Amino acid sequence: MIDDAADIADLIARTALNDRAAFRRLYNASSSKLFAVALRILRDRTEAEDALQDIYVKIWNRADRFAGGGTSPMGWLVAIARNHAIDRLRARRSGHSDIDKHADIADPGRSPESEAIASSERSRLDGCIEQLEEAKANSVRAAYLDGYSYQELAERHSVPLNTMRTWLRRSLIKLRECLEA
Amino acid sequence: MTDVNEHEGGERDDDIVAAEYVLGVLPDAERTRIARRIEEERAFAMLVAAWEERLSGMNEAFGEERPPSDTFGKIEDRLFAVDPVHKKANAGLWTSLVFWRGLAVASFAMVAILAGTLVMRDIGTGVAREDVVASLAAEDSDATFLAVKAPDGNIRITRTGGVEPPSGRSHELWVIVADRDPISLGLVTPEGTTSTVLPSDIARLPDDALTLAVTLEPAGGAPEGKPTGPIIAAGHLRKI
Repeated sequence: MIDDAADIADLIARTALNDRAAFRRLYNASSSKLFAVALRILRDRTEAEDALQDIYVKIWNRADRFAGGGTSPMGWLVAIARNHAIDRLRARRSGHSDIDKHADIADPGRSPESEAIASSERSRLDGCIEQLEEAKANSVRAAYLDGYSYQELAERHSVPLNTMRTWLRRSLIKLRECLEA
Repeated sequence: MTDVNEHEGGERDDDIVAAEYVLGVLPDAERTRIARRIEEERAFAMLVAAWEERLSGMNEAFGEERPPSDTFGKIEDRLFAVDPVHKKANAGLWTSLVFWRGLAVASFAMVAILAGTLVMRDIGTGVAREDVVASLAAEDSDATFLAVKAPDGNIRITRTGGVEPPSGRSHELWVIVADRDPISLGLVTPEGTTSTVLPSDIARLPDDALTLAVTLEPAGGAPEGKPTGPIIAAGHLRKI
């Protein structure tokens, strides 16, 4: 991450005013992150690149909706990327039809800088996730990071769909309580 | 996923729905519906934003991966290339000619292929020499349609790829011309060929001024005559 949060927020605000130079800087500051998101969820470089184009077209068009204030600008960008990648994944008829494809994707690297920014949010969330049972914690991570659906998670854990749904809903409620404690 | 909706007595706590949406576990149709709710209901959108914030602690685990070096150029092309006077679609994608042109470029390459299959597909009563065709496609959708426009403004459209609309949804055809809102040409039947007629003032315009688009709408079509759903395919009319 090149710019800090305030800079990213400023670039989004200027993009909303049709500032193309700011949009380019925003791309330079965020595209490695958003590409990693698309690649991890879609597991296909070509599709992830197409998705990344769509994601920045959306960012350009929606920049004026970025609320600023308490919202994390990078979190807002990642949310757009994740939602788009997951929508693409769901639109595929069979979701993750080729789970083995995962092995083709190298473990995404982390820059020393981003490693150093051990955000308090991350450690808090990690701490709360770790309080869940292991299978549930894994399901939460697999859903968020890999884009697994209820259906796919139910199959992976050999439980009925509604059981998985109940697991995750309860886990989400626990996470909310833990984070707000 | 009806069983999911009816689970736990059919009561869906909005906050949990927001959490499930952010977690990403819901099926396609439900995500589309919720995405619309986010646009329309501010209170619900704030629940979603709060969950995005709560779960954002996992974002670091995505790591970073440099995209191909030509990607930004492609994005700029899509947003700005056709329109030298940089103009943004403030009113959204629907009024952005740039966006429509971008889509049409994507579908242009398919015209030749689809034109070749035209006879095989037996679209209506065949294609006369003066007919023009539009191959409709979009980048993030596998739906394709082939439309044939006769000189009298009659349009026949057939779905040539992708899947039928999910239950409770319909494919709706629109014609777009510059500086006007999209005009509905009615629903497209999931199977076979649908016939419709262009409004006469539109039919008189040069063919290359027209873009056809198909959106996913609630069953029976967009309620207020304006497109509400995602564009699943679009393309320009061309001579074959």
